[in-house]
Amino acid sequence: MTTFQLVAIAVCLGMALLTWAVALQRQNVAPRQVLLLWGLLWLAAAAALAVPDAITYLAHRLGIGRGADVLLYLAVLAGCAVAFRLSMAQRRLEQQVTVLVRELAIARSEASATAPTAAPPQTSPDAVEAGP
Amino acid sequence: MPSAARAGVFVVIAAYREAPAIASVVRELLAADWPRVVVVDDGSDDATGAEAAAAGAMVLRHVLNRGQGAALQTGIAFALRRGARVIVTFDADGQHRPEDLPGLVAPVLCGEVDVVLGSRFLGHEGAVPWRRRLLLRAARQFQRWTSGLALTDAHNGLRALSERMAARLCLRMDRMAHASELVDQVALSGLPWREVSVHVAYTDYARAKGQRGWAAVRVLRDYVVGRLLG
Ligand SMILES: Nc1nc2c(ncn2[C@@H]2O[C@H](COP(=O)(O)OP(=O)(O)OP(=O)(O)O)[C@@H](O)[C@H]2O)c(=O)[nH]1
Ligand SMILES: [Mg+2]
Repeated sequence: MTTFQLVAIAVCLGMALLTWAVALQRQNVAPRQVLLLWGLLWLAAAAALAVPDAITYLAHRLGIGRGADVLLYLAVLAGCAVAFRLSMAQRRLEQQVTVLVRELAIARSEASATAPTAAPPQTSPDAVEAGP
Repeated sequence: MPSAARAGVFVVIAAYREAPAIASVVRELLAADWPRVVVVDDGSDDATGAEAAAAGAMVLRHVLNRGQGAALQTGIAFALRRGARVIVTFDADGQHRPEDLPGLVAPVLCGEVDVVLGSRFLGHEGAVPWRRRLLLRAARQFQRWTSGLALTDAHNGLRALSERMAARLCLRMDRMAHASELVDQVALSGLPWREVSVHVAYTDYARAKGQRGWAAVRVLRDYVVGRLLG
């Protein structure tokens, strides 16, 4: 076994442990199932590094040919999954921004409607609510 | 229409970068005796908000641009808090006419229906440029298919909602797709609706500033993504 293999396996195992440790926390950055899955992926990577022939064997069983191609396809799939999750997160964030912007607009209009007429604290002149 | 009734009618205008047009739109509405005009300045980087306020509108300001759907939802929430009985949505670019409002508002005020949708295609459809007409035909067909409502127009920004419908409305499609989302929610509510003929002016200003035809692709994408992912 080469030094590279040893180091890479150690890193992968470390990442697997880290992801699972995070998954055990109560407050999570991602759903628990997703974290557990990522841990499994790191573990699989460590296994593939330890037994490179395993990938080739897998490739033949899947009818893909080369082991490197299996890795490529898996990487593409993982990339798509990550992109999807990120765009979902972005959507949620956008919706939250809208809610905040809306609440701020309404709160400011209400503040200027109830403020005493003598020099109300206005941040911008056009945020005034000039009710009839 | 008695002025006591008009006091319960809030005209909500979502405006983005409409400084050249907004003041006259507001003034015409006020002059036509619609005293409650709410302009939601959607993070414009021009004088839209100041112009609207000077013309006599109540102005709400989004500190960031969030899109027409988001701005309308803000204006509607505000109007409901102020005790609106009827909410009219109106474009900021001068394409809509205050003369159409009585016909739009009356069926809601007298409790006949909860939603009145303006239609460009009940009557004088010659006013609509042919390309826009083709696009709207397609949109109308799509809308029939997605919402089940057989409307004669699609994405017309001129409509009147009862307090009841407005309170149920929850627009989550922040940009232009909200016009389809609104129709979906009307259909879902089961509340009675009607279409009335309105005139939409395709002025040079509105055509220069308005959406290009290919913007429909984005609207469609926003709609599909919104329907699928909520
Ligand atoms: N709040 C808000 N309003 C917007 C935004 N973009 C456009 N609007 C407003 O939406 C209204 C209609 O926008 P247009 O761009 O004219 O839409 P259109 O596709 O030309 O629609 P038609 O003219 O009816 O064919 C106008 O009153 C605009 O001011 C935006 O980002 N935010
Ligand atoms: Mg327009």
